Amino acid sequence: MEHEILKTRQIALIDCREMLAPEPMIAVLAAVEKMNINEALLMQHRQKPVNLFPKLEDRGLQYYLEEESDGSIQLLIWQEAA
Amino acid sequence: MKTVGLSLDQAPPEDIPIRFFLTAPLFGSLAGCLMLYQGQQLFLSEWLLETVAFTHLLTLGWLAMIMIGASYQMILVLVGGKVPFLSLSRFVHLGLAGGILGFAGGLINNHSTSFFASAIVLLGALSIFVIQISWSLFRVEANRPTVLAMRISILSLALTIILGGMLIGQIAGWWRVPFDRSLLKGIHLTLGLLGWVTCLVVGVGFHVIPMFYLARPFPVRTAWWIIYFLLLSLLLYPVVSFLALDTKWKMLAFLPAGVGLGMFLITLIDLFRKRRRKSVDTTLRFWQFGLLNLFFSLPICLVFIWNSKPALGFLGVLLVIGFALSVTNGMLYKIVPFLIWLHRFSPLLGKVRVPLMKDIVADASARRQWRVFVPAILLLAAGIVGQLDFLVRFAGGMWTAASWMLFIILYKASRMRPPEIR
Repeated sequence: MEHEILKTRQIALIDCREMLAPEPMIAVLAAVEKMNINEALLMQHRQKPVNLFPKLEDRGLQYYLEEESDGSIQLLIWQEAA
Repeated sequence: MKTVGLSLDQAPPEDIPIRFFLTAPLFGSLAGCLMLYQGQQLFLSEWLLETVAFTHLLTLGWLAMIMIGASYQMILVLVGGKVPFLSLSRFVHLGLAGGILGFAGGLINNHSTSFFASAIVLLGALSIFVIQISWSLFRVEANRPTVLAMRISILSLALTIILGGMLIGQIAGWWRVPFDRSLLKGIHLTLGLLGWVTCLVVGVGFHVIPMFYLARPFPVRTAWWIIYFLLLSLLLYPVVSFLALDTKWKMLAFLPAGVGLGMFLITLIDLFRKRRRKSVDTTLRFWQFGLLNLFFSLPICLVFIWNSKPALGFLGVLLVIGFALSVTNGMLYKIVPFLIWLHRFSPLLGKVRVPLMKDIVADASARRQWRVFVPAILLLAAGIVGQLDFLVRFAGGMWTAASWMLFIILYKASRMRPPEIR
């Protein structure tokens, strides 16, 4: 994945590939609660977490998704600087 | 693929899929009561009105109810499309539930007005569903086996409905169809079971087995081949039937489907064996039992084509109840708790302590239902093969109990409310 945020923020990796629903959502939302403005979260998952996107939007978070041909994804989540 | 700023808050309101899921076991219990009341007689001929009612209580009342509810819920996850006119789904449920009741009741009581009126309601409700789902399915690219399987499935359902309508109209005397009734019935049955039910279960299985059981992704090349084999049989069987070719040709027409389903079986067994988390829950048991029934139904299917009478009831039990009902029953224990959790508890994450999925439907409850469900099917199969009336009735009683147990478990889950935030 290439993104400007990766170069400017401290990245915390959260690997959800071995997690069953709804564990990825719980793990990501717990992690974003603790995330500060200098940080971003990189989620790895087996599939697109469609139910997570509205939760991120509700929290005013930005995200960037990259999907591989096998359906696995990398999702970059960050908070826009004020 | 790179996507920025996706807005995917398009999941249907929770009441839409849940109303379908809660209704299915009620129709299951009605089918069980009919077994209890009619016994062995129910499996003597596929033309008996009670048998037609029983078949539709299961295929429409249970299977279609769950598959339609799941389609509304999962189309976003499975194919990424949005279902249009979602509020119509509540009318689809109402039409389907009322239609099946009137249709089966009309057949059992030989009440033609109720039967024909309900059939029209039923055809209308199913047609709305077909239009809604087709709208979603044909607007996305069919670049994945799941999408193609779902497209074949929905087209098969549309044709099954048309053939069902033709049969009903012919019985009512509304029109004359220049084909033999048993020919139409054979194609109606094939498109319904192999096209609509099997293609949907297989196509959804490609996606949900890795998702629910932490298995490796379903091999894409194998998945394409399975779908092509199923499609080939679905195309061949009507041609062979219309040309009135003999049973050897019919067997040949089903051969690709048999190969495809064999590949599906072998691949799933391998995926289950190599899954990353080895925990065994009851939903996995339902899948395993369903696949076992599918395995035994393949040779029986050939016997049925060769000489229909003795094998039909047994085939129906294996394929419809043993495979399709078992798999859908198990899937409800995955889908319903997730829906309840997603809609009612996930908004509270980080604010209060929220229950886990296993707190919404405990595996112990599911296991208790499984312990009634499986013997009911085994006894029914034994009762049909051995032509033992008391065994069929006993199985009917057990099946009614299993259906009610499922309903109570799901109903309790649907009543769970989130805690108030102070």
